[in-house]
Amino acid sequence: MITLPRERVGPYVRALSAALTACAPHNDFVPLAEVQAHLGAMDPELSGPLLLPAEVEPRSGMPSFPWMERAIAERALARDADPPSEEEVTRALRLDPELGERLGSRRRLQQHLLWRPVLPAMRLDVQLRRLGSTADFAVIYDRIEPLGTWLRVRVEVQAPTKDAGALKLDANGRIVVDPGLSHLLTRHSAVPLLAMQRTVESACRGRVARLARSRIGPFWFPGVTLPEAVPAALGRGLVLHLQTEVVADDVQTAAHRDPLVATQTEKPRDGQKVFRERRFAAVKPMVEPVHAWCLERGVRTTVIGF
Amino acid sequence: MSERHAVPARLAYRGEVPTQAGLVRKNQQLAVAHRRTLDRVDELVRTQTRVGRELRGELSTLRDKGTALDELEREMSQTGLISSLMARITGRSAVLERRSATEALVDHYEVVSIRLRRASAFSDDLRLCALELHEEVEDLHKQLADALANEKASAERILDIERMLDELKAAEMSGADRERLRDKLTFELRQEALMLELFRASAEVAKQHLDPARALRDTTMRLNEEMATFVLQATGTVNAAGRRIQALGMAADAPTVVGELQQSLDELQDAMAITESYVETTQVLLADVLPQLSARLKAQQELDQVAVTAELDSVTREHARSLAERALREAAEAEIEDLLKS
Repeated sequence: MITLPRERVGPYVRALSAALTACAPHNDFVPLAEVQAHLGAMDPELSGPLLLPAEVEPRSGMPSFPWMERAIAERALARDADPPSEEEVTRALRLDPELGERLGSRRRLQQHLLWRPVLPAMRLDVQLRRLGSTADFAVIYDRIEPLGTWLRVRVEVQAPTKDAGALKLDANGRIVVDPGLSHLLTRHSAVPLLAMQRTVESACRGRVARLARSRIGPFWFPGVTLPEAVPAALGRGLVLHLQTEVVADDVQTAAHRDPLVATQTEKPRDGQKVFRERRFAAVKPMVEPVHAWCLERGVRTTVIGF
Repeated sequence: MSERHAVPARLAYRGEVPTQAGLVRKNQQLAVAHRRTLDRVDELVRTQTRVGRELRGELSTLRDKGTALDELEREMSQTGLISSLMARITGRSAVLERRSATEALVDHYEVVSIRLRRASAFSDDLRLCALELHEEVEDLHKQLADALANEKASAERILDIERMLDELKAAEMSGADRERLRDKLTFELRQEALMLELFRASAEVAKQHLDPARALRDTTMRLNEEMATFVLQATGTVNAAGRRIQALGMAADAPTVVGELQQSLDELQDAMAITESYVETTQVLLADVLPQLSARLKAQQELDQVAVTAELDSVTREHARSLAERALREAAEAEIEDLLKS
């Protein structure tokens, strides 16, 4: 685990935030507003020493789970109790500047978090899209992964209305989700995309019309361990990855634009195609080297400077 | 009148010069403030006990869930014919049980984490309360030191005036001048004697409030120290468990992860033992220390009323002299006491 010195924490979270804004991730990724609120909370300019130590996963360069989780816990606290008052902060600053800084930070942090949702450790949301001969569900599963990357899996499932599996409707038309579904999505988040599609279909006894698996991260910067195939020069600046894989009825043209994943010999179901892409946000001096490396790997993809 | 017969100059007193009404008011304010602080400390102790209990409960559940997972792991990894047959029969149910144990563990980790954040915020509340009480103790010390210094200076001036009054009979001056000077000296003597009484009362008020203020401060500091130590130890252990628990979701089949988790959960046992003794300590505070403090505070408040509302109007020359002599004697005794202490 890399522990950032306090003076580097602010620049780190602000750089990650700027890279994300530059990429403008769409709805297949975890919500940008939640990520920005989360990163804002983790910036010592706002939260002072409260959420430290700032630990970063060495293989992904992303914030560690315990660091992210502290902001989640602080939000739960903000919704449950009043933050320290302005007067308490002033009194504390006069008596003990360190305590005053902590109380002031807690006040700012809880005010920041009270009305801003942050990224949850894990979340499963299921909605009914259409009810006809099949019950069509939209499933969204978000998770902070062990390596620190932020995963979103979006599934559109056409499930039978009778003898359904993990997703069904009760007699009152309410959605009933099998508690094992989130575990299944967790465990299959690393398997090949089409294997995951088959597993979800089997669990739901239906048909997956669209499955998108998207990750924010890794975030390369000096000190992060790069994968073997990557030239060391790409670790000398800031580079954020946004990777996505989609198998769906509505993918018009199959594409493989991921320089880190070898071209797959997969066979999607008739009428479906696979789209795979890895976009990058890089600091301006890194744009060209990243671009060149992608071309060298036979992939033309987007590298946005920030 | 010659310079030899000039009235000793009025003194520049240290700190705030008390008045009778001001002292009564201050005494009441301090009594009310202590009552309020005692209630606040009482509430803090109760909150601390609740926070400690909740944490103990959550840590215990977290550990149980980890142990359940470990048991499942052990059952699944047993070798031998019977175990192998049993594994085939119960394999699926074991996987399901393990899945639910893992998920419960992840959920529970979040609950523990929130409780720890709450405990950490509470520890800061305690520190602020302790610092404010310490400031009050410092103020009372200053009030006492000022009052004692003023008392001594005032007593010396009274004795100077007394000496002049005694010498007045033999002074070479006209009868009218002598009468005028006697009146002036008597007036100054009564004024100074009144001030001396007020300084004595001020010192008494400070002395009487010092003890409860100090006891409240020490109690709050003790709570703060215990809570801060506890939070620090528990945070380290729970953070380590957090990293491993998060890894479980992805690699629940890897026995190493479960083994590491178990090791981390064993450390939780220590955190629980600390919570245990911590909750007991706060219980003692609730059962003994705070009621004793409350009783002492009440008794002292009654004494305060007597001290401050002493008859200040009945100041006679004899009374002033005896007050001054007593003040100087007490100041000398205090100095000797200080000397012996050092």
